[in-house]
Amino acid sequence: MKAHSIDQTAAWAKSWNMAGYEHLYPENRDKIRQNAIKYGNENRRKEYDQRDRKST
Amino acid sequence: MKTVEKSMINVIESPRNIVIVGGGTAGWLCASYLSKKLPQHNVKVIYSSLISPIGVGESTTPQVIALLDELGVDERHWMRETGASFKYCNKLIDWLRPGHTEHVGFDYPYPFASLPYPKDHSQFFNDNDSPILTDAIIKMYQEGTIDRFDQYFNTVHHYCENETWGNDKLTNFYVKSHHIDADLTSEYLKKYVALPNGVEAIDNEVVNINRAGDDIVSISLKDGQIIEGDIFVDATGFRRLLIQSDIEKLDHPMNAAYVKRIRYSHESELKPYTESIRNKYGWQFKVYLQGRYGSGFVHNQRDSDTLGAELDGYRLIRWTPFKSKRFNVGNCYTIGLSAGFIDPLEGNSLYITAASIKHLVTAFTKGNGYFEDTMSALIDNIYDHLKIFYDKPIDLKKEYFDKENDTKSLFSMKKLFPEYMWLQKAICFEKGLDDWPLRDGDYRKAENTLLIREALHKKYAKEAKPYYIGLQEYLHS
Repeated sequence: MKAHSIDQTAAWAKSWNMAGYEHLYPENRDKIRQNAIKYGNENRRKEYDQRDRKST
Repeated sequence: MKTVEKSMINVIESPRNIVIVGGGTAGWLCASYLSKKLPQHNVKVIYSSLISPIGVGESTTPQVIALLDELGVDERHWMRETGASFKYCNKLIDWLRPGHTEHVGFDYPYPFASLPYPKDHSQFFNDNDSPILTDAIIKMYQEGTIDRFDQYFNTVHHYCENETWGNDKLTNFYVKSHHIDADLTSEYLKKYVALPNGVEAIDNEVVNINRAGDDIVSISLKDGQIIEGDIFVDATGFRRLLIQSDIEKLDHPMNAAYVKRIRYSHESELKPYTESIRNKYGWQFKVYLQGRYGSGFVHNQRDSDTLGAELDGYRLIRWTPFKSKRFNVGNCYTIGLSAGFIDPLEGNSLYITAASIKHLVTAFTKGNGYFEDTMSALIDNIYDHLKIFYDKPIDLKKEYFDKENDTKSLFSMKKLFPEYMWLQKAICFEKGLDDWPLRDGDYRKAENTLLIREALHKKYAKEAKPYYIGLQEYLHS
């Protein structure tokens, strides 16, 4: 049995030009993942900076 | 094969006379779409103002709204003019057992990074490369951590429970659907899209269809006019005036409905969802528009007399659940209700209309075989989907998992809903779940995501303004 693929949902939405599913498009997924990592790293850096300031 | 393709390309490139018969939603939506997408053609709509429309208020799916977007319809203007409202979901009531509800929405949740969720989302699932969110839902359901799909997967659940305005927070704000007045929407499309784009409207009655073999040559009207054309579109609904094809009767328990338009005593009665309520005769729909709602009791004709005695002021509509045996004969194509109709559940009627119009335009380049194949598969898919509601077995493997995941094929345009919405039905109706292929993986983050998202939306929905106030502010902003 074939496993379900998120590409099916993305293709379904794309074929209809339905807004709101862009985050599932293959070309957008990696961008979103990279942004999430960047965002998380920035937040962590800010947290560490604040901790450093408090400790000094 | 090459000859066929060449002739189809000619349809696109050289001006043709396209005659649409029928002035309902299908007719005017088709005329609007053709005039916008293929402006080189001359489009005529033959309709009769003496034929009264049957609409009471219709529930749509996002595909229909996507089509309106393609026409460049200004959403706020259209909603104000026609009394439309947003539809966050279809609320199924009492289907599995009395007291059971399920909000069937459309969204596939966004990752946390794009939402007003807690800033540190590293502990949550953020990888959209796999469908692990759906798998996590099944696992949690089977382990008893959760007891329903909508509350944890969809983000509409709490806004519908509280009847509050969710457009600011819902992740499916862009995956929207509407409740529409089909008659007013037809008028709107005629006035603001079709006529300004050069569509010719002919208000008259068809008295004869003049044919040469399979092809239609012209149409004779009551006032003596003869309208010639190269391509004819049958949008005459159940009358099926033009298409020369038998129908395939479908075995389905519902074939009639009592319908009525009911005004609100106060605007706060407006709800952000369609209600589909099971009852002893079949089911009742409530489609909430601005100012009124459309109510309909869908049932089997054998119960019409008994049910009719319980209802006051309702109008009876009867139909034979069917699928056209052919969707294209010669130069005639059938769209909308004349292509097939089973049951108004899930807003599939306007979906068939929208899909058939899209497929018609694609058939001009891909050939008539494309139109036949896709239309046939599309109605089969709807028929299969509706079976879930009527205690018939459902084979998810057949629908989704034995097929190649070929996104370049005709697969996607044939489908009313994607696979995760079938999963919701499988959980809601407690059937077919065993057929779902679970993937190996670490579900911890995905489970966390679902639980935290649910808690946040529960909070947002309680704080949000009432839906009917939010809608008015939105429409007049």
